Amino acid sequence: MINPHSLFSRREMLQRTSLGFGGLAMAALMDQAGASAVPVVGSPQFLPKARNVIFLFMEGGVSQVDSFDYKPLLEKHHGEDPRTAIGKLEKTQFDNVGKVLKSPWTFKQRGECGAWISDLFPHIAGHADELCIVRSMTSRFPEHTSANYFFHSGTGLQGRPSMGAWASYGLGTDNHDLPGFVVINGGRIPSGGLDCFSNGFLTATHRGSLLNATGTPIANVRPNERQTEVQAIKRALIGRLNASTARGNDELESAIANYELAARMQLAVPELLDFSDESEATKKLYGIDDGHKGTATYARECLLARRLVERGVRFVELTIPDIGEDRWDAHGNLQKNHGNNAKSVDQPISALLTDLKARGMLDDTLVLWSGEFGRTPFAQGGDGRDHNEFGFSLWMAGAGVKPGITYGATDDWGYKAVKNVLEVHDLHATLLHLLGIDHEALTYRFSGRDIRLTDVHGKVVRDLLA
Amino acid sequence: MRQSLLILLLGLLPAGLASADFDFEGYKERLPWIWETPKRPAIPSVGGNSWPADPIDNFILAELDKNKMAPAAPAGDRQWLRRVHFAVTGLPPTPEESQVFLADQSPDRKRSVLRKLFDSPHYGERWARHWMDLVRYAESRGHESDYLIANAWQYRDYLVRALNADVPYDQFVTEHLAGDLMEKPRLNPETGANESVLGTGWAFLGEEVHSPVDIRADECDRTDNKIDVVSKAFLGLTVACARCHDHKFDAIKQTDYYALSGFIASSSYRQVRFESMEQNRAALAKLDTLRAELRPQIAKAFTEAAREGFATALPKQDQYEIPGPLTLEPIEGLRVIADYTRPGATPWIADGPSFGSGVSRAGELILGSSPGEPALRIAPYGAARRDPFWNGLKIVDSENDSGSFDGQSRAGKMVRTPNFELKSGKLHYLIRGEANVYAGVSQHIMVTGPLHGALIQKPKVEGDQPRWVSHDLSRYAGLRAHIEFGPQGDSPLEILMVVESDRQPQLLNAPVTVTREDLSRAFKDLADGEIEPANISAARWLVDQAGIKAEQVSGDYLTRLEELRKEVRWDSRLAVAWLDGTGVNEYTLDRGSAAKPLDPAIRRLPEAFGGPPIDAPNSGRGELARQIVSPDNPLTARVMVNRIWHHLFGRGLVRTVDNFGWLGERPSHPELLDYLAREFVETHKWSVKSFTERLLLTSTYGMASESSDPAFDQSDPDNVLLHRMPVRRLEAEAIHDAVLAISGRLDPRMGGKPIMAHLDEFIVGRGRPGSGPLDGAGRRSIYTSVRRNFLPTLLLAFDFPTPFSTKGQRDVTNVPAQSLALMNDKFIYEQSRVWAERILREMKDASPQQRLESMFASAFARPPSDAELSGCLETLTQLMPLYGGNPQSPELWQDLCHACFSMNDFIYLR
Repeated sequence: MINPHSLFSRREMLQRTSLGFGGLAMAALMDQAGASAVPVVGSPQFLPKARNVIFLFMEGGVSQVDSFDYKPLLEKHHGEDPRTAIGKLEKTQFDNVGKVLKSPWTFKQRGECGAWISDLFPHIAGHADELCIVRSMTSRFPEHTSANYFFHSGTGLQGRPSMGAWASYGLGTDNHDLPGFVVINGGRIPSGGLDCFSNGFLTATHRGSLLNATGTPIANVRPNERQTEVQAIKRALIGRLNASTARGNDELESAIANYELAARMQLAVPELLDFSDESEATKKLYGIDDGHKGTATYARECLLARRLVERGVRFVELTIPDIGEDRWDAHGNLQKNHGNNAKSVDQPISALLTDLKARGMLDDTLVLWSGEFGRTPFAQGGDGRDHNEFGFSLWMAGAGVKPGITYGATDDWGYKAVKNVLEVHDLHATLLHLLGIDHEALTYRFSGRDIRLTDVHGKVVRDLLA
Repeated sequence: MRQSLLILLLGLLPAGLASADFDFEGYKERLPWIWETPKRPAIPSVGGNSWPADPIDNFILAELDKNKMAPAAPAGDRQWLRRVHFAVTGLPPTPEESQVFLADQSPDRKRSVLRKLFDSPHYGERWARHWMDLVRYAESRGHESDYLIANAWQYRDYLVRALNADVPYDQFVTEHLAGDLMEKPRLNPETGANESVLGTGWAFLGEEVHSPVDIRADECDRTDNKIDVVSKAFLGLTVACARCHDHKFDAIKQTDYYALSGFIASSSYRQVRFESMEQNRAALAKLDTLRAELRPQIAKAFTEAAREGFATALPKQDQYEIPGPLTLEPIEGLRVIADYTRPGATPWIADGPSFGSGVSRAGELILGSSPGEPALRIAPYGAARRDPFWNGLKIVDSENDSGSFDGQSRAGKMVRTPNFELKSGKLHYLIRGEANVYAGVSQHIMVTGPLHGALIQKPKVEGDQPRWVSHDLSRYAGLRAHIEFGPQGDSPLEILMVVESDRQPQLLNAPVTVTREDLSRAFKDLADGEIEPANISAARWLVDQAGIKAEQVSGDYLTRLEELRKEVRWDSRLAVAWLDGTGVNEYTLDRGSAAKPLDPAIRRLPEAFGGPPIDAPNSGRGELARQIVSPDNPLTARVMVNRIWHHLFGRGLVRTVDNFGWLGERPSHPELLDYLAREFVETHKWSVKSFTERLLLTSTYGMASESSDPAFDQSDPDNVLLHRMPVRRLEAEAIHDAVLAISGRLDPRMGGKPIMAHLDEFIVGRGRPGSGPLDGAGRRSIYTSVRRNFLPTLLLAFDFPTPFSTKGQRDVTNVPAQSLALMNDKFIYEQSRVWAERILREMKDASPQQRLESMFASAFARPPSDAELSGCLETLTQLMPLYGGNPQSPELWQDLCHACFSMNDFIYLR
């Protein structure tokens, strides 16, 4: 077993003092201190296919049978009692089982690969040949919060490191002035709160930094002083006095360096948010000025995600915009809920794929699209769908995954995964593998155990790898 | 490959053999000392070296000697003073306090500073926060909506008081584990409130899930968290690692984990009337005595008064048809869960005095307690019967539970059944009156959302006769439960039975026929004050016929009752606490799966401790506590002295303060650790204050933070041997509180409801509470609300821990986010202004230099060096033009104050 404490020993040694919210790599610090060059990233264990991950988290749970998992049987048995048609049903969150419910959206085969994708995502459907669709994902939790924690951290409890934190811990960051794990907040923080992006027992360095898509972008990057030169003068005084009292103490020296890095970050963030260097065509492609508020917000998020990845941020997660609709959690009025949420994300995601590809960035950026679970093929009440952890769909695109394939399957109803059944741990193992990390070797000693993102489970799904 | 093969093989083995590689004796032997009571070691000789001020220093010096190193020079007085102030109270010394100390030439001057600090109530605030990290203190339940934990903060105030009172640590631990079971609970000297019971509140300060689909799996997760906290906080062991299998590294069996689970499964959650419970316990005893004393007299007086009437008014018949006793139709398969109709049939578990001190049995003489009431009634059947004497109990100034649990409705007026396992789940209660019923299935208390509303029921049985009401818990068949009954409003409430049966039992209540002789016998019983079971119906009928009011025959009972009422404490606030139930030995779960129970594990401390099992009829937590705080326990004292050492020196002698096991680290000074443990127990009698004070007076603590020889930093770069005092960054709370203290905004009021935390736009999510004032109302940060999902940005930036489990060793990161916070955080900036205005106000005519000297004294407890002074003066000159050249500009001085708050010397201790 490889222990990253030795694997990344120098980085490990330095992260106490150098990385941070800033995820500021020690290279910057070391360069500044005139020390010998140290690799910015922790060495991957084998050749990584992906340098970065963009995780499009569809919180609330997208219905697989209305999007990527076509089930004609639902049309045939629409309106029937599912206990007769499907058979024994598992307990659900609301236990308010209605009839078998066909999808209100039409499915078509798309692209050369012929993947079945519904009209819920007309733009994304156009990228069918890029997508690696998994129709056999499962979760262990039917409630949002536990499932969110589980999907993010491999444990259904609060306080464990999120996958972005693990990626940051395992690989460090390529950027000197920005955090290694950024969460772009569209307005809907998932159930379970900011702990979905927790560093858990890893140092605070690896916590997902919230970047607001609108308003003040990052905590404490805006000076309070009305006159810009004031802060520089103060910083000079602080630097001078701190230097006189540091007396060679490492801890104090590092704190001094942090001031310089913090100052640089104050500049890097406005530059990141300034879209003036983007062409009108690009902005239009994403839908930045779209009349639908959700689309406009998510367009901003997707464009920011690209810009963050361009700047070397390791792991970017996007939360869905607040459009006055309840997440993807369609317990009632499926058509309105899913319709509105899809309208928000469809065009921006499609644009992101197009843009990344055009810039050659899709080769080393992995895009992951998923909810925390799926939804029942039978109705909750009249026209909603309840949570379903027994089988749901996700897709990946880009670095290292096979494009244009569909993997795994649920039963004839789209209820439970039956073929090539995957667990969240398998997804995590595969994700880390694409980043060049052996999921069994990336451990952190806490609470008397060497803990992994994949706990004691998970296998790399080779069939998905290009 | 090999590993997966192993997993495959293990999967094929029966569960009992799955851990064949677990080597109990081997694991014990490779770390024998943690299982053995520490022995007092010899104090190392240091050959006449005069450095040691305490034998503790001998241990440090001897190791340094051995490694050819020497201790650092003594720290300067100012450094030492700033250190001890933060160590003890978490606040900086004021310039005046510094002056007094520097001027004091007496040999006892350090000791007298410490005496003053330990007497300061701020000590409790500082050290309570350390403890709160261990019990993952929070005031909300996290998860999706971050629901409130009602009155959680009472536990925080309990900690502050307990630490300030220097409650011996063994008592303190006992209060945490069994404060509700202590024969003589510790009372608040001012209010008479029960302090001890508050200690148990920690158990419920963790995360709770609302509406979990699998309520039992959820219970297992909650229990796991409690075990993690108990075993780490008190014992420095990671027992929770043995949930799914025997421990991989330590001599802890999987059955040990479930043996601890039983203590938790045996006890339940409540909101306790901690302020009134002891006083009312005494009042209840007096009430029982009073009634026992006067019952015969009143009965006698009653019969005398009634004799005449009966002689003339009773119709002369041979036989009378009168109401008969209640009888239960026999039902096949009926299972009695609780039977309150007979004393002793079911263990009596009650919270508060409202149902008296036990079952009120059939035939009991119930005395009328107000003049117009009937003087006497005969209880027709046995029941847990609400005594209206207590109806005036009130809850004041307290929060109620989130969701429909409604702890207030049962607080201090509750009877609960023993723990039992639901079979069919079809329960029926024989009751009279209006009840608030909670079915504690799998201890699920966060009742809200779509699934578990059925746990709560509010049945009403009007009229004089009890009736069956049904509670369908068949969804929970197979799970463990207990049932809690409380009354609604002032309604009477009698609980006779709880049964499980497929159908509701029938109640038979046929009239009976009695003869005049029967009546005579009953009348004689009445005169004797004791009714034979056979005569109950007749006596009851007679009494009802008599229509005699209390004022006629009750003598001074009514007056004495009135006097007793004055001894009752009617109002109380509430706090979170354990309520003891009946003993449960939890099932060992196959690979930790709630769905796969194996054999029950008898409650006990882990076997490796060698103590006896604790198969008590109640939870057994009292005995658990006794074993943990026994002076022979190998870990309790070691773990605590190590924690204290950690807080003072920045790292423990065992660096992994929560894990003394194999994957933890070995002690740097094993003999010193044992010496301290023995001293703590024997010399200091578990007194945390006196023990801490002693450490602060050592030469070791008094060293400077610069090595006496730079070579030592090469040979011992991590300063494991303590050749110097480490430089330590202040914790988030100390930074926050010091800012308030220095600006002059600090409001030293103690305790009370939390001040809502100020939440910026980055602290968002479901259930976000309203944001509080930017300056936390000037109160110390321990009084800022701790909502699990909404921790404030500034505290997080300085490593405030996420409260999910025991965290004895906080992260100490050193990251740009901290620089950004100090530069741009609005609270720091605002307080810089408050400070600046104070300086301008108080030092109106002072020179800039004098002002700067005062600022340095406040912020760093030292005067500025010449270079610092000139640096600051130059900065003033640079900034002044930006503020219209005004040397008195508040903005100008705000900038200087702000710079001071940003200095390393402010946030670090040397």
